[in-house]
Amino acid sequence: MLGLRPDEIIQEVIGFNQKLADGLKTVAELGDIDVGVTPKEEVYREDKLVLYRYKALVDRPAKVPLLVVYALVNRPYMADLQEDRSMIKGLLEQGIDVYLIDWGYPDGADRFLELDDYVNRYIHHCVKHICKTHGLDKINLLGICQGGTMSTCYTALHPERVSNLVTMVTPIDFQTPDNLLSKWARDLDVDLLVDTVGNIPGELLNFTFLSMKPFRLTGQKYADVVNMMDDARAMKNFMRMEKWIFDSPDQAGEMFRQFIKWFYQENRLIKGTLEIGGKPVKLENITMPVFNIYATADHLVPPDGSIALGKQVGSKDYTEFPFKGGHIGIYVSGRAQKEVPPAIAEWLKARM
Amino acid sequence: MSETDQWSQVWLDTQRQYWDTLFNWSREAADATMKATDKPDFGAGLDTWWKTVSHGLGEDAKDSYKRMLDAGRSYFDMGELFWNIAREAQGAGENWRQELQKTLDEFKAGLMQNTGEATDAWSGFTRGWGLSGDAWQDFIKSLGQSPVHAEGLTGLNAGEAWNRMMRMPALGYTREWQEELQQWALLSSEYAKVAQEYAALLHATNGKAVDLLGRRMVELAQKGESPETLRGMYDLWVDCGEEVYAELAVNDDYLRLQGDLTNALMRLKQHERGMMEGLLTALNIPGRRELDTALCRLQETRRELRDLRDLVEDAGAENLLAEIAELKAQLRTLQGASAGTGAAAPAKTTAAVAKAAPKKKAAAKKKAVAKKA
Repeated sequence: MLGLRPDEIIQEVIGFNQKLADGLKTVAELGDIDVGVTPKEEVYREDKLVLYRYKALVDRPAKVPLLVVYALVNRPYMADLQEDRSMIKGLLEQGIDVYLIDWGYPDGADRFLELDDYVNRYIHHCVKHICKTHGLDKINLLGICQGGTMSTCYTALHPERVSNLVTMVTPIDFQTPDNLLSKWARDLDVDLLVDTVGNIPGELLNFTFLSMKPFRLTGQKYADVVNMMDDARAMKNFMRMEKWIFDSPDQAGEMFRQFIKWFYQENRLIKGTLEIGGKPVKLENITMPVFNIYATADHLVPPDGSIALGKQVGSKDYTEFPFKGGHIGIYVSGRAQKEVPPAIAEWLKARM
Repeated sequence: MSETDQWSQVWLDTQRQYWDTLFNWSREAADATMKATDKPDFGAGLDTWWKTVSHGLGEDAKDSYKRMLDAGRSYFDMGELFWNIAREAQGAGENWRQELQKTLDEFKAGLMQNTGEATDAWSGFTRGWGLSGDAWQDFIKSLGQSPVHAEGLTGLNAGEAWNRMMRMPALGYTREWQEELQQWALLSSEYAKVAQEYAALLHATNGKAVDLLGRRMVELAQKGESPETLRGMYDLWVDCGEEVYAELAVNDDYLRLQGDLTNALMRLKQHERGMMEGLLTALNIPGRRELDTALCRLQETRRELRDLRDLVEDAGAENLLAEIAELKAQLRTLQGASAGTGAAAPAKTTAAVAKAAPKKKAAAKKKAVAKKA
């Protein structure tokens, strides 16, 4: 027999109704949703890119700084979402000197920015700026998601500039059997798309990501929230995440064309056929220590796609760090705060 | 008490009366006073209430709360389904499985009816689930306003006869423009056709999800593990939906159609853009093509300039230029000094150059130390 009773269903619906109505007051009083909390200062600017340096939280931070390169999709404040959910803060507390690239919001004038511009100019100029500031020849690099792919390419092209490479939830092999995004990109005429719309609207990316799990991400998730609507703090945390999820910059058209075609459709990085700015990207050039962090339940970047890096790099000092969680949890979950920044810092310190 | 609070209270009071009545009915299994046609509408009133109270919220909060409300509506719709299932099963005794199947069949029939009403590929699917279909609409809108609204074109799947007519050769003085319009009609029809195929494929998952839900409910009941709450049932429904959708999402037909849908929309939009460019050119107004050419050249120039700067910087030219400037300054000082002292000048010049040398050495030493560090 079924375990349900109609009168109990009514009771549950009444409770849900009440929470929804009461929650309106909580939501109305939340005010501005603040994100990106750790103090930082702008140290370099080029076009829409801004390079930030975070204020040290220890007296003597490590001598070799760490540059964080985030993805072009969504905003980098995910790494510093709030006081108690901040990978950046965790790294600073561990004594790391942290820099971060904010890519800004590309517009029509950025339509013809290419992968070459992002890797060999923007990232390279930031690295050179940091090197000059600290009187160093090379620094540490931490790439996140698509930023990890770009950091890997940068390191392969400019190995003399990178002391240690850290990658986080980074796609390297884009065509593992469980890579849904790669399957969805298969029959897309990306030339036609970019030639028609120019820059790719952030809404397209939102739509794509939500369609990967439509019932959980557009329905169940919000039904869950109703249960915590009486808790203003929890609601504010939820709203920060919401702000981040839907804060999707448009993608520079040429960059998008190259990224989809070269990585998702042709898988050039792993095949060794990728060229950026006319130079081959050879992963065996990555001979410095590599720390590869991946999420075991990542639905956007399947673990196998990240782990593939290990077999390709020339480094003899290669370490993997599996995090039990998903693509988002690795930045913001309570466990991530305790596990990820200390692991990165410990690994880096052992190699400085 | 604010206006929003007052409305919330009025709404809650009204809802409470409604629920009290329903609750009383529910306590009496298969109540004779409730006719078979008396179907409760759990979500009634939510939309009206939202329209009244939403103006007091900030934009961020409004968007998120609206999503919660949409989810709430979907939850209520499922509540309605499970309420019907529970009510029928209560009076059915050993025949509960037949009653369950009957109620699910009715629900499935209701879901599948929506296909014809869909205004685009995604909303017919999401509407069946009571989910927000805004994402696809937002994407279409983000592509910019076009002379026609692509989201309304799904009704234009006019069939082969129409397509044949649109392929007829154009005649007369305006034949080029007529050809453009015919081509536009063909591309619109092509997009509409793909969108309907895509919608049908997506929509079929609704039926499969209901079937899977029925099977899961029976399996769990037989094991004595049936969810005992509405929330548990709702979660089971979501699991079934995701499971069916996950199979579809990697299906070859779906992958092909998904690519075709975007490609067809882009072909249509590109054609519209071409028509617009023609008009703009005739009026000597710059269009997208011209702007793209200018932006592309500008980007190339900026790239070359930046690379040249890098070249200069990497070659250490900045240091050389600074050194030359320093030497020039010293030379000027020496020249000034020699003009004032006459014969003693050469010796002083030598001394000044010799004095400058350690400076250079010191700079080189400093640089070496920095490099070492």
